Parts: sequence; C-alpha cells; structure tokens
Amino acid sequence: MRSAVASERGKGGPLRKPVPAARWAKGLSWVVRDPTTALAAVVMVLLVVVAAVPQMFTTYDPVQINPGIRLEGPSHAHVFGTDHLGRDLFARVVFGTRTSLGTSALVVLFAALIGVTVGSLAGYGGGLVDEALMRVVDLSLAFPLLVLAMAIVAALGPGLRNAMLALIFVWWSQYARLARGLVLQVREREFVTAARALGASGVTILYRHILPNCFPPLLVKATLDIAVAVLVTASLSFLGLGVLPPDPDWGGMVSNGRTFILDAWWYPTFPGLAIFVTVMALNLVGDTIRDILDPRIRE
Amino acid sequence: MPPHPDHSDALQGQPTRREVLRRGVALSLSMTAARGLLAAGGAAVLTPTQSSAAQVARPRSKATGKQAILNFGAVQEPSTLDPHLSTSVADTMLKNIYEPLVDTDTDTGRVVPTLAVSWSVARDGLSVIFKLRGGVLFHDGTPFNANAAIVNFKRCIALKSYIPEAFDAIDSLEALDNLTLRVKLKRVINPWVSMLSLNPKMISPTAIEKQTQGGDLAKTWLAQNTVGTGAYMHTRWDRGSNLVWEAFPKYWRGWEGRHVTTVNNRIVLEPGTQRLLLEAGDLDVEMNYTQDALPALRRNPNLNVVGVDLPNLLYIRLNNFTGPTADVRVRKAISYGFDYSAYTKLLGFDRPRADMPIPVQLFGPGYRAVKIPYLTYDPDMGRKLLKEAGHGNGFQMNLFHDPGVPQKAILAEYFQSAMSRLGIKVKIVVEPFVNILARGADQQSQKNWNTAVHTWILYTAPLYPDASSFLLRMYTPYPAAVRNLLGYNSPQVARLTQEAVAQKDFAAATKLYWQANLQIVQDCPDLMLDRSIQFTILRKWVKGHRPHALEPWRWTYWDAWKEM
Amino acid sequence: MVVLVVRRLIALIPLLLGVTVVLFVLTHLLPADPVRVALGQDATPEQVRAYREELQLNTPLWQQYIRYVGNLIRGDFGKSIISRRPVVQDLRAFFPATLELTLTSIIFSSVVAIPLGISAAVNRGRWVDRLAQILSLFTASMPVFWFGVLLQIIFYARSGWLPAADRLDADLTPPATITGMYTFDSLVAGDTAVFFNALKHLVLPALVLSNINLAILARITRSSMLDVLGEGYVVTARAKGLSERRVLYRHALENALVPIITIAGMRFGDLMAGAILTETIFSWPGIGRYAVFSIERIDYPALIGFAVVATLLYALVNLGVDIMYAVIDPRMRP
Repeated sequence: MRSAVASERGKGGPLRKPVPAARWAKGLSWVVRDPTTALAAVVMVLLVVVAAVPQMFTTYDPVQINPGIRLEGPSHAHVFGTDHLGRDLFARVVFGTRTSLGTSALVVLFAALIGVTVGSLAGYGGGLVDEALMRVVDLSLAFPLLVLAMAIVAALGPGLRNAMLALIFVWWSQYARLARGLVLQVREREFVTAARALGASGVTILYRHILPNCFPPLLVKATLDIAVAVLVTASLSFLGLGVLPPDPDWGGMVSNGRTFILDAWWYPTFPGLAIFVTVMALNLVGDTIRDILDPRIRE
Repeated sequence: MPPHPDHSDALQGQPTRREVLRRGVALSLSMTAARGLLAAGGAAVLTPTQSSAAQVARPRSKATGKQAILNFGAVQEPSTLDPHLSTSVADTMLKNIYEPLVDTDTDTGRVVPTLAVSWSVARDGLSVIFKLRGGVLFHDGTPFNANAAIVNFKRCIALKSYIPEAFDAIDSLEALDNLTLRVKLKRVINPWVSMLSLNPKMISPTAIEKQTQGGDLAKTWLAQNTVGTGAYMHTRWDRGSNLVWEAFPKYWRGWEGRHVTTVNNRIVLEPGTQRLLLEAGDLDVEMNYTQDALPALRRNPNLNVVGVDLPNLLYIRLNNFTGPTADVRVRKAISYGFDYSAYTKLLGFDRPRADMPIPVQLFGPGYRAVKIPYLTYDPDMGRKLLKEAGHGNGFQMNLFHDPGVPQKAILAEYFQSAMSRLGIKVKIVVEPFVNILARGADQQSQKNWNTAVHTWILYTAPLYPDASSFLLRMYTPYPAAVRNLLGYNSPQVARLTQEAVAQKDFAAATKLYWQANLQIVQDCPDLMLDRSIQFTILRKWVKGHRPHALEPWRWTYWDAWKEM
Repeated sequence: MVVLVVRRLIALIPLLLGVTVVLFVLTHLLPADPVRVALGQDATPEQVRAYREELQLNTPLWQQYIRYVGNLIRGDFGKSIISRRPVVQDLRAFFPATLELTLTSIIFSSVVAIPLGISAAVNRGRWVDRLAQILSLFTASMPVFWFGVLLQIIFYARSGWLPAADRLDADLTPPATITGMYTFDSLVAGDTAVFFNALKHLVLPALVLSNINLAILARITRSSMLDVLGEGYVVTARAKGLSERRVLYRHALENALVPIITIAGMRFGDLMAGAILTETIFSWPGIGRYAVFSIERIDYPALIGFAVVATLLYALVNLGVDIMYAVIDPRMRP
C-alpha cells in the first residue's frame, strides 16, 4: 500500500545542514539530464494544471448522463470511450484529477500539520508530555491504516469529506513520530544550545531554530505520501467508502468499471492508468527531491 | 410515452420469453384458483400429486464425479444456518435443507403442500387442520410428525421468526393424532396459510432438545449445523469459501431419476470473478451478474441465460411526512419528470414497468385488464404542478440507496439528472440498507426535513404469495409496516387492509386489496419503477432447473442434474 | 533480553485496550444498528427489541465496554452479532488463510527484491540500477485492485493457467487442520494433489500482495547495501580474495539485513491493509475480507476481534525485530 517512503530516516544517520541553494541548482540540472524524472516533472505540472482548471481540457460535462451512447469504445469524439451511463470517460478522468490529487494533497497537508505540531511538542517538551503524546501515537500507528480508515468512514458515513477526515486521523501519527525524532536530534545541537544561552524563548527556539532544520525529511515524506494517499483514497472508493456519485473519482471509476472489463476494457483501464501515472510521477518527483535534499543515497 | 403495453417486451428475442409469459399467466390463474378452492367450501382440501408414502432409496449415483457435483455461485454467505432466524437470500438457500408445511410452487408461485399433504380451514376461519405427510424422516433418522411440527411452531413463536404476525395469532397447537395437527387462531388472518411458506421450516425436535444450551433453543448449535427433512444435508463449511451440501439418502421425494448429489455453494461475491469462473466452467450456476454482461453471456455457446419476471418491484419512496414531497402535487410532479424509457435505455435493456404499487401478478387475471393511471413522462406538467405547489424554483432533496446493487446506482444517477430538469437538486447518499432502516426507525427525525430521508430506493418482493405482503410492509402505518418509514399514511388504505386481512373469504379479501391498491395510486406515495427480471446463468450442461416464479434467489438443487 | 521482552509485552496491554476503546466507540457512533443487520430487512420493532435485550445493548455504553473487556481478558472475544458464532472460531477459520497468503508474499517479494536490490547497489548508476528503480516504482504505483483484476484476466480468463479465486478447487477437500494453512497441512498429510492445487491458488493473490512490499524491500536493500559496501570489513573481505558472491551474500548482506528486516517489520501493517483488497478481489477467505464484511455489517465484536489480532500481530512482529536487533547488535541490549 505505502510506497517507497523514507519515513524511517531521521531515526539515525548524520544530520543535514540546511540545503544550500547550489544543491538545488545541481539537482535541477540533474532533472534536466535525466529524461524519466524530467518527464515525471512535466506530468506532475500537467496534473496540477488539470486539477486546477479541468474545464480547459474537455468540453464534456463529466456528470452528464447520455443513454444513447453507453459503453462506447474510444473514438475521436470520446477519446477514452464512455461509461455505463454514457458519460465521457475522458471528462471524468480529467475532473477526477482534482478529486484525487486535491484530496490527497489536503490529507497529507493536514496530517503533516497536526503530526508535526504534536511531534515537536512531544520532542521538545519531553517528560510526561512526551510520554502521553507518544502513547497515543503508538496506538494510532499500531492500527492497519486502511482498516481504521474504513471503520471511521463506516462510522461517519461514506463521502469525500469523511474519507479525508478518516485518512488524516490515521495518518498524522506517522508525522508525529518522525517530527519528534528529528526535534530530539536537532535539540541537542550547538546552535540550539547557543540560542538557548542567548535567552530565546522555547517557542522561538522551536519555530526559528529547530523546525526549519527538520523540514527536508518531512518534505520528502510528504511528497511520497501524496502518492500513497492517491492510492489509499482510490482504495476507499474501490470499497465503496469514498467519493459519492456522481462526482468523478478514479478509484470509484475503476471499482464500477471492473465488472465491465471483459466487454468494455476502456472503462476500468483509463482511470486505472490515471492512478498509475499519477502515483508514478509523484514517486519519481519525490525521489528526486529526496536525492537533492539527501545526496547520501545517490552520490 | 405510452404505458408499457406488455412486459413481454422486456424479453424480446430471448429464449425464455414464451416460458416467462406462460408462467406469468399461470401464476395469476393458479393463485386465484387456490383461493377460490379454499374459500368456496369453507373447508376445501388440496391433495398433492406426490404419494405420501416416503420413497426411501439410496441416491442413485448414475452421475459420478464432476457430474454429481453442482458448483453453485452463492449470492451471499449465510450468516446462520438456523432456518427460523435466517433471512432473505440465505432463507431461500436453506429450503434445500429444511422444509415448511406448505411451500411456494416453483412454476406457479402458489402455495402447495410440502410436509403437510393437505389442510382445511374451519368455517369460522379460526381453526386450521393439517394432515401431515407420513414416512418423512429427519436427517438424524427421527420421524416427522405432529409433535415435531408443534415443537417447531413453538420455537418460531419464541424466536419471533418470520412472519411474526402469523405466530402472534396462534392460540393453541394440538396433535389430533400422529399426523394431524390442529392450530387454533386468535383472529382470522386471511393469508395465514400462505405465511407458513416461510416458517416454520421443520427442524428435528430431538436435535433441538439435545443441543439446547442455557435455554437458547439450540440457536448456537443450529447456526452451523442442520437437521432437516430436505433433500440435502449440510456437511462442510469452509468459511468464506464453500458450503458443501450432500444428498440425504432417505429424502421423502426419493432419488429416482437424475439429481445432483453434492452441491458446492461457492462464496465468490465479486460479480466479475463469478463470471470468470462461470465462463471457465469452474461454476455451473450464477445469479450475481451485472446487466451489461448479459449480452456477452448470451453469446457464449456454453451458457444458458434464463430470465423470469418476478413480482419484485423497484420503488423510489418519497417522504410523505414533511417538506415539499409531503404535497401530493410535488410527488406527482416527480413522477411526471421521470422518463421511463430514458431510464430503461440507461439500464441497457427494456424492463417491464411496475404496473401498480402491489404487483398485479398477485391479484389474478380479472384485475389484469384494469386501466392503470400511469403518470407518464411530461416534464411540462411536472413543472406546472411544482409551480402550483409553490416550488416553481425547485428545491433540494436527498436520495438514499444501499450499495452493491448496480441498478440502484444507475437509477439514482438517472433520477438525479431527471430531477435537475425540474429544478430539483438531488443529493445521492449511499448507505447500507440497515442504516436507512435505522434512520427511519427514528420517526421524529423523518418528520423534520432537515434530518429526514427525503427519497429512498428499494426493492420489495412478496414474502409470501399474497397482496397483503405488500400492504402490511409498505403501506400501512409504521412500525407495523416496517418499510413504511417515510410516513405514507392513508386511513382508508389502513382500514381496507385491516378489513381484507380479517376476511375469511379470499375473493372478498382480494377485492379489498384491489381497492387499497387504487387508493395508493391516487396518493402517489412512491415513484413506481420496474419489476425485476431475475436472470440465472447456467452452463448448458446443467439440466432440469426451472426458475422460481416468486422468490428471487430460490434454487431447488434437487431438480437439477448435469449432462457433461 | 528477558526484561526487554517482558516490558514490551506489558506495554501491549494499554495498546490493546486503546484499540478496543477506539473501535468500541467508533462502532457505537454508527447510525445503523447491527441488530437490524442480523435480523434482516423486515424485522419488526419487537424482534429488534428482543435481540437488543438478549445482547444487553440497552445498558450504558461504558457498562457494555467493561463487560466486553472483562470477557476479553478471559480470552472470550464474544459472539458475532450477525452469525451468533464465537468470534474466536471465525478468527481461527480465517486467520490461517491470511497468514499463508502474507507469508507467501513475504517470501516471494524477498526472493525477488533482495537480489534485485543487491545488484542495483553493486551496479550503482548503471542500467541494472535504473531498471530496478523503474521496476520498483512501477510496482509501487500500481493500484492493487487494478493489478489484481488484470492478472485475473490474463492468467485465468484468457489462458486458464492459474485459478482466480479461492484457496482450493471446489472438488478438492481441504486437508485436516493443523495450522490451517493448506500448503503446510497438505504436505504434512502427504497429499500432493491438494498441495500443488493450493500452491497454484496462492500464486496470483500472493503476486498482487507482493507488489506492496517489493519496491520498498528492493530500495532498502539497495541503500543499506550501499552503506555496507563502503565499510572496512567488506573491503577487507574483498582484499582477502574471497569470491564476490561470498563477499556480497556472506559479509555484506548479513550486515545489511538489519535495516531490511526492520523495514519489513514496519511494513507488516501495510501488508494487512493490502490483504483486505487482495482478498476481496481474489475471494480469498481470510481475515481481511472478514474485516470488510464485519465493517459492512457493523458486527463490532467481529471487527474488534480482527483489530486486536491485527494489532497484536503487528506488535509481535516488531518485537521480534527488536529481539533480533538485540541478538545481532549487542549495543541495543538494555
């Protein structure tokens, strides 16, 4: 379920200094040299644009039912064919981009915000606070992610908003654990000690000195997690717990379409490809960011 | 659009068309016949075709190996094997293991003798005497008799089995002799004998007694063990995968002729996977298809696709308590706004339109010709009515349905787009059926538009072959009518139903049911859609099967054999 | 060591209590009522009331919870509301199927991913490395449910090479239960027909499930091999003139294994989640599918039973990893 994620890092290994601009530049040049990653970056940009202004890419209404043209194969008029209600699949895939990417990005963003807040409080505060918060985190981490998400969605009722809430609820703890580990390491470094000696307040130290230094690994995890979130939301939809009809959603389309696969192969195939391409692009881009931020693996 | 001229359109060009037609007519005929017979003499007697002498013989295994084994694609895994607690699909499966006193006939759907060979109703309608079949053995070797029947009646009363109305009405049970049972009723219930086709299905009283723990009436044990009188015994349950049922050698109908002797009820719930298995020959039968697969399945030379037109109706229930839909004009406007032909086009093939709130099949041919006041597609009329009702600018409402039934999803999405043309914005909410029931159980919340279920898609099939099955569940007041969650309340319909059920005479009851039916049409509490055609897809090598005319998932394994 | 184990086992208790509390509360938030699910669509209010009383559902939630936990401590998971069957029996019936599937998938993904990761590390920057990267990305990006359906079409519907559903052909009888894992039990029983059939049934679902772990394993193997290959003892081993194979698999891999196992342990939870989807698609009668049904039917004793087992398993796997740590690396010992 979860893809190649570097969430375990930060537990060990030397700490990184803030990434110098030069390395970003170097990374960028590497992107240019590497066609796969360059392609992935282009795909990513394209996906973001599609998600932002889907109506630019299709003239069809993704929810317009058309009894006359059910399950028609790909053609000039309908590039991806039509579904069992005669809706244009290309339009649905295009509009589904917003649902899938948007949902995933939001889930990861909120999960990271909550997780980092809790994790840094635990790590910086230490003692009883740490103990209490981390027990909660352990509890949350011990659940199989999808199961808990399913239970929550079942409790709240299906729908996009509830699916997002459920995912945030099960996801924040990973960030909390990572952030706590990072804060614990950074806390003991000279410049923090120096700041403390200079009389900076705890909050200032945390936000001015510690957190910025924890940022790179968190960013890497977040990028790669969006890929995972795309898959997980699709899985929830596949199990009937995600987006409600008629809103287009990739996972739901694959789920509805799989029974048609023998007679209308295009129905589940294109949304499935969309998920695949998006996740792949996110993973590639995430890898690149990691390589830039943490050259140890590549160089 | 003109009303659907005849439901046979739905089956145009299909091999089963004639058969279905014949069956539909036969059903109507025989039901009235049965009623007439029972009603006329006050104490008429039905005699069965089977000889009452038990034919005890070893199952003839002319069929061996794969030929003797039926791989049946189960619609769902039963949660319990207790015949007095099981529901719907599992219940129909279990009729291969357990048998009731009377059962619904495969071809006609009417009530026919099973473990009772005949019955008579006394003139006052308060006493029913059953002659029981002799020589019937339970799977544990003990004989079936009047005392066994009494134990089972009592268990159903205690467990509040389906249908509670039938068991609530029992005053006393008495074995007049070994094979004669007299049941005295507290009040006349016109369809009482029909109701017995559900329960009690007969369990060996010896087993019940032996397996009872802590006064649980053997509920725990019977959840996964069986001791019935039916053709098959439950022998193995690979959880989540397979229920193996094997022939009971001493079955009273005997094993002359050809029969499958082992049935694998395979639990493959993904329709796509079921189809793959069927096409590869790993399954012999499936009923869990998607409609769009039907054309391809029909083209497959190895498969037979058999359809039967069932009195199983699809409704969109509208909230009659509150909000815009409390106004009959709005409800009619919704009906006018619904284009049935566009909807069936979306389904991918034509479907017979539901003719009445209660399927006409349950009334008989005399009622078939009655002109039915359909509200046919007329969006202008719809808009006009909405304006009259003060909702010219439209409104918002929700639509609930349960997941897993493709047709409901299609209907929901079509309804949504059709209503948008009337200016009504529909929000689809997919929730398990029981969630919807639980919402409805809180009737106060249904009276408040902000918390209410506004519209709700559901199928309703008769539980037993009688019009009252629909009235008592759908159109009389909640909570007695468990499916009338959205507040349809017509004193007239309630009175007619009450009167009809208390009739001793079938024809008189039917007349009252019909009046109620017409009143419901006037009140337009629902949007009535189609009758379901239940398809069964079989390998061509499966012979002898006939689809059941009344019960959607019913399959009598004993009828079938394989020729490979 | 013993102290470590005991301390970790004690720490499990609040964890499991937490799991039960969370799920207990969640399942009781539901608008629906498992009793209605159990009784069917046409249950009358009296029927519902009677069953609720039987299950003592009318008492306050905290009392129900205390009763539940009280039973749990005695090892009684309660009875399924839907089937009235003891949950323990269900878990016992479904768990081995999942375990068999998961173990097969772990073995398969290790066999593929570890050599792949090693050769990627050895050939860093070259085409093997790139291929490994693309391949692992490829599998990581494939939606499980989509991949599963594709495999069913290709290997079952079109070619008939492999079965697409269930654990065994219907005309075969499962072997006598020892572990509940058909492959193992049939081997013990000496029934080769069942063994090979069970193995065939395992291939597709295990392949799909492996997808989840393959990428991560290959990647971790690569990076920890890279770390290790630069270490002094590997250089020494090479200098001693040991064969490259021996250097890689004896000296380097053994040391690189610790992080690999750690990650594999941490990913175990994901494997359980993947099992839910895989089992749904392949009609695999395991606890993943059981959990899905239990959620659909709000059968909370069953659902909590599943969650407790899943959590316990996850925790024990991680404990195992930590113990291994301590054995391999004495510094980790408390």
